Amino acid sequence: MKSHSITGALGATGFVLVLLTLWQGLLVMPPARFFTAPNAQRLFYLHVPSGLMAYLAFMLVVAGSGWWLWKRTPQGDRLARCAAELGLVFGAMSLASGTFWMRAEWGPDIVMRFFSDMRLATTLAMWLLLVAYVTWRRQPDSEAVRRGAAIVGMLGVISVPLSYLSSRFLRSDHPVIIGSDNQDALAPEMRLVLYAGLLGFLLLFVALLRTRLELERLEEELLAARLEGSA
Amino acid sequence: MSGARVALALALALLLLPSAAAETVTLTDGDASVSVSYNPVFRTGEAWFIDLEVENGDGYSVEAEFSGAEPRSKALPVAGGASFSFPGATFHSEAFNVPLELRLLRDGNVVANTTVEIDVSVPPAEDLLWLWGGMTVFWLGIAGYAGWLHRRQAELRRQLESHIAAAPDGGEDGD
Repeated sequence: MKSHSITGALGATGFVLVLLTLWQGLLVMPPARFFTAPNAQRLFYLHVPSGLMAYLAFMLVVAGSGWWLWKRTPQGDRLARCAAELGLVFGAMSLASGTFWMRAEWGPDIVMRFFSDMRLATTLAMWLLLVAYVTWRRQPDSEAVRRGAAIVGMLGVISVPLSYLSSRFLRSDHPVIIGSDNQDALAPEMRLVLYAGLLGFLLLFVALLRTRLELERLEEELLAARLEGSA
Repeated sequence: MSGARVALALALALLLLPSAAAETVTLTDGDASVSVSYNPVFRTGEAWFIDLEVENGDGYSVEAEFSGAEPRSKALPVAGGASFSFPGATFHSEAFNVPLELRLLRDGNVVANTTVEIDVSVPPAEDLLWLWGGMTVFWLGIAGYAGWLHRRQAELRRQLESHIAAAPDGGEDGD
């Protein structure tokens, strides 16, 4: 019960922080400079944190997969499996919000952008890897399925840094916000609101991950109870 | 209330919504007469038209002027319709009761005039649509996932409890 309370508190705090971010981002903050669609630009208060949570999820998939490949621990496999699902959700939200923003800012040529802009291409590829992982895990569980999933999961070692760094070193129009040398691109108060949103999303992410891990535990308990009953 | 009734009520409500119907004023000078029709709402970014219906208009012209803006004028035909417009960039921000002076001129001299008032409306920016589209997809995504987790968790708990209750020892595990 204590675990549920912690998860609930984390989720509620995260949700309130995200709502505060939205209020500040939509109604209080001025539009960012250098954008032709200043209203749609406000999507970035959701787009950036959800994208970073997708990266975090994939790094947990890498960690869990590596742990399982090294020690064959069920906890590693469980972590990778749950984090992959969260990565799929947050990645989809980041891609969807980014696509809406891109449509307003860059015009209607959306599909070609995913082929020609390296940030978009590598992020879509990363998300498709998560789709592959989750789809693969829908098979009946076995050692071979876990091994295959762990190998797909380990591809995040390449995919995450490639996506994150692509807008810095490869051909891309995607703006660089976090860790940018150009601190003038974002006013300090906007940066503060963005970081509050990041914290809110992180807490939401942790709450959802804890809930998903609890779900996994319940499924295993139910399976064990059924096996015990049939024995 | 059935779906058909709701649809009918919505259709009626839409029909009864106040709409910006054109307003008309008439300027006359002897036998000459011109009916000036205009939309009482000026939408920024769109050309704003003034329509004229003329009788015995030979030698006359109509001039329209917003305070502080370049006036626009139109030489009238003998009879029939004519129109002229103000560019959508005449105004940039929302304003109410903006005076518009309408003048009927003959040989450059004002022979009749009147002042009407219009409202200036700024349509919502196009990129707002994309902002709300992105927001909607975003929240539907996270709410859908959280809802699925909650339902699945409740279902698993229910299954586990019913399994324990149906066990031969009635769920007594000796703890």
